[in-house]
Amino acid sequence: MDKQPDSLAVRLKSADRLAAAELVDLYYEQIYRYIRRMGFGYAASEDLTQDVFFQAWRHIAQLRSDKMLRPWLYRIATNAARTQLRKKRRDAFLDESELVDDSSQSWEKIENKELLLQLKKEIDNLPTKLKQVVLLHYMQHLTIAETADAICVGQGAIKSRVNRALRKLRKQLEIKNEKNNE
Amino acid sequence: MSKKNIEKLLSDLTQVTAEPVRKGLSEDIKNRIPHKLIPHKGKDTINIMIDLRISKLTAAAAIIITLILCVNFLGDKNTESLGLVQESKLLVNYFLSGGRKAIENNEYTGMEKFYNELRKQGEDVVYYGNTIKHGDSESILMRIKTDQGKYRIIFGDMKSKTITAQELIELQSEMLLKK
Repeated sequence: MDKQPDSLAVRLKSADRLAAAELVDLYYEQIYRYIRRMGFGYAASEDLTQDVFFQAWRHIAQLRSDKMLRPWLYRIATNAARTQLRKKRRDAFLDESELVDDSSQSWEKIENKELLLQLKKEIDNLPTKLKQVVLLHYMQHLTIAETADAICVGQGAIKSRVNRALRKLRKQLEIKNEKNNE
Repeated sequence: MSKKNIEKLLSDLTQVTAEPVRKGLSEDIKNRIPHKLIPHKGKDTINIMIDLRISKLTAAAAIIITLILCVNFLGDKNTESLGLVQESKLLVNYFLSGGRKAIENNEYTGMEKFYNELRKQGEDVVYYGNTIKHGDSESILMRIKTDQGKYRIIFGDMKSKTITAQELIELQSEMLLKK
């Protein structure tokens, strides 16, 4: 996935416009999906994705280590999403129909669709700090170290949050399961 | 349900929620790449970018203060002598009154300076100042007696001509009648 991220960061720092375009090609899908998974609608996600890259170009000097390019982008995305959520309540601009597209073909092929839908709902209901680590570590495939960099906390705290989030999700799904069995 | 089961479910969820992204999005983003990207100067530098929204009055005040500070810093304490304060005042007027009035004020200020200069030179000159409406082509703003016994007059619209004493009396009479 990361095509020579080190050299890309160096070129970005030297104000290379081609590198800026390359950065978009490499990460725009990831960032868009991350924002979508945070619960934003299509249009809002596209706008936020654009803002993320725009901010990245403007603040390229803040990129301290070449290896931190990906978590750094995610940090910008997380902050941008947080700011947006503060500005407006999410419900005010999120179309409920955009939340879970369970009519798509990818969902039809899945056997445990109900369980996954339930899991998605439980992730959305998690406290923000726990939701962030689940999205970044499990759904965006960032390592623990990258996740820690992306949300500016220590790796220990991330591991703890991951465990707490998984425990909570497991508990909620089990409760739901028991209710269904009854 | 074990931890591994949850992780497996999360992996499945990741796959099914990986919806396609609009292809044009990347182009939209690339179109916003600034023409001049600011290069990173090194580890010892920081970028400070300020996006301020302030009122015209505050902006004008900031400009004046900055200019005065700059001049003082450069060593000339008498900022009046450079006309800097006057220019700054004009700038404030321009911001506050939308340009036109500032230009009018500037013309009057210029005429006043001209009048003072002529008086210093011992010329026989009369200045009617702000009593004359700006742009008034029939009212005399200033009159200067020439060596040939005639009068050089400047009207409110800044046009000028040379007239005789008799014509001057007639013009002044008309001005009084209008008032």
